[in-house]
Amino acid sequence: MTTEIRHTPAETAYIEALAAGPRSAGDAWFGAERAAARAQIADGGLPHRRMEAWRWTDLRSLIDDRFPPSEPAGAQQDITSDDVFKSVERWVVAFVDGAYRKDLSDLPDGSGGIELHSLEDVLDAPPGWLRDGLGQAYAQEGEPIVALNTAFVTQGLALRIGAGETPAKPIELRFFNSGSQPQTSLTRFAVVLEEGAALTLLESHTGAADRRYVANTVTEIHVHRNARLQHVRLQDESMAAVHLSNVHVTIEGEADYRGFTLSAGARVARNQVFACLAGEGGNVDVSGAYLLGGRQHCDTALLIDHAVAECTSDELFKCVMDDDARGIFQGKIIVRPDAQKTEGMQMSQGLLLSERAEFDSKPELEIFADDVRCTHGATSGDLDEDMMFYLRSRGIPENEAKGLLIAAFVGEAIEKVSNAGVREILNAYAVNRLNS
Amino acid sequence: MLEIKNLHVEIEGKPILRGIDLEIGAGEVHAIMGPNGSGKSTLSHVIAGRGGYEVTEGSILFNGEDLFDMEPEERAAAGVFLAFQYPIEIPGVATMTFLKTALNAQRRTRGEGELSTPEFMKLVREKSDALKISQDMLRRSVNVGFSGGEKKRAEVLQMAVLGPSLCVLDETDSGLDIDALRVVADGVNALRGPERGMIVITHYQRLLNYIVPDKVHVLSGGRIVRSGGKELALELEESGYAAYEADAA
Repeated sequence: MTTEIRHTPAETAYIEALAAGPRSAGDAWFGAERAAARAQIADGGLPHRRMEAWRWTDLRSLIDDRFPPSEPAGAQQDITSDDVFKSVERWVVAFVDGAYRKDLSDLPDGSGGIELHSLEDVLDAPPGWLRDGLGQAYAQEGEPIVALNTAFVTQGLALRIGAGETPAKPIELRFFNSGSQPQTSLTRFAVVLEEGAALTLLESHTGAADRRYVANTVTEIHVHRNARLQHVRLQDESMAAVHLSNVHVTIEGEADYRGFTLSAGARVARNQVFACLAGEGGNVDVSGAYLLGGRQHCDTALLIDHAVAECTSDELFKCVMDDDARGIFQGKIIVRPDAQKTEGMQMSQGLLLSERAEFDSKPELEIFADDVRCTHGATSGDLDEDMMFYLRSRGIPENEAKGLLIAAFVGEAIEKVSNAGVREILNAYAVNRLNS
Repeated sequence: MLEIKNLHVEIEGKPILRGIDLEIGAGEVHAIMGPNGSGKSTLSHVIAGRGGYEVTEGSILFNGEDLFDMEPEERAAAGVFLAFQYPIEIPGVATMTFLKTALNAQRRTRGEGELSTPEFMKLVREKSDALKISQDMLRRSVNVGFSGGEKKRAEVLQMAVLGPSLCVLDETDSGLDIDALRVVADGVNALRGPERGMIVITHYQRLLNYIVPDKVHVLSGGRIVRSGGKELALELEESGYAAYEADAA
């Protein structure tokens, strides 16, 4: 018996784009991966609720229209009003509708050991480190969001910080989607910190108000021995957009990766972080906050893999849901048989501001070593009545009291960001969002 | 200033206050004493406007206005302050931010201008020095990690900064050693004045050695069963509440 697979309009648009003609640039480099990704899209389509990892975020129903892969944008686009990190001194690499825009960027001057290439420029002749690196980061094989990206992507950035170097300023990857037509913008990033390097990498994701589009980014990160990466993302897409982001990170010995994501925009957001602690003494922190209202849906799925001994992992998510919003947190930690002396801490907390809002949390520990310390917890509740009364009894009006408590709630997660200027921006962003 | 008339209050259908009559004039300090479960804390919470209490009869007028028509924040702006028996910890909200937000919210409600940051800092420094509250404590989250004594001193600091006309102190002496008690009492006494009324709720007479009341009331079984001058507190210290508890039952 054969079953006819019925594709959704979104899947059909992608499959038609595959048929319309392969994007051949880069085939000499990752043609095999691209062919596999195309086959996966053609056969499997979008992830759906019958796949355990996607049970809460059924993209087949949530992406409810055709969003074909975008063509490189030509139009000049004013994105100055969306400059969320403007008070931080930093370099900027801009992407509009998924296309690299040198004219809107403020590129590093070549100091601080920064090597940077637009992906498009090096597709046919990648430097050695990139050729060997891209597509190799942890846990990519068969991952549906990676497949979507690999099948179509031509835009993105390759960034390498040389051994022992610390650039003078953070680097921001700035994404703007005009949504001038329904389409999917796809970008790919390779970030390599060589031994002993240190970098703050910022990302801002914004879009034209209420425009419909799909934004897809895949970032592959390799933090070599003794290197430190702080990676802060502020997602404030159009409230009608779909945001799909993957981060794949490999952390070598004595290295640190600290990722933080503030999720405020998008109708549907799915953030996935796959982190592998591959060298002893490595540390990973993946944290975030949600500020959701209306019918927003945000799902974070983490996989933290302790492959070796004496590493630490921390996750703290503080999620605020109002109206009919739905927040989801899925955190899986694997502690391999060799990963003795592992320390893992995971906490997810939902704050529900309406009776219709929902928070689902699924911690998952797979521990195969015996000498480890792993804790996890999940809570969900509404605002504390005692705290509310205390604030109001001091003369603070109900709405202002709520705002203070909510800002304090997400502030606990924002504390994880070590760059003070960036932390202030995130806190102010949260307060403004709550007051609007 | 405060007129409580025939106040009956229930919690989940259970009567707690059963006909309280009490008048506090400006400049007066009244102590309310009584055994556990007599309704002392309920009275203080109802004055401040906490939810969960059902007023089945009676009224409270504050400067002629019906308190039951006012939200907790409106009562605060009008001059009502409750010093909590168990001050609430609020992680993530710095004490200084909290104080400034509260003071400026009250000033806005009263149609007064907000204080500038330097004006506010000067006011807080002045009041906190007197209460031996460090600048470090003010930077910490509200009541988080404070000792029992620090929490009570912080309550008195809030009172001093907000400058209410009616202070209700709910068992402010509980959990304090003698040195802390003295600091807190000095802080309270500094706020006594001809324009300000106070209700000091306590189980023990000890606090009243330091905050000497004009009148003492004994609350038992949800009623004021006896009123007198400050000597009544001493008498209670001798005889205990047993006689009154028998009365109530």
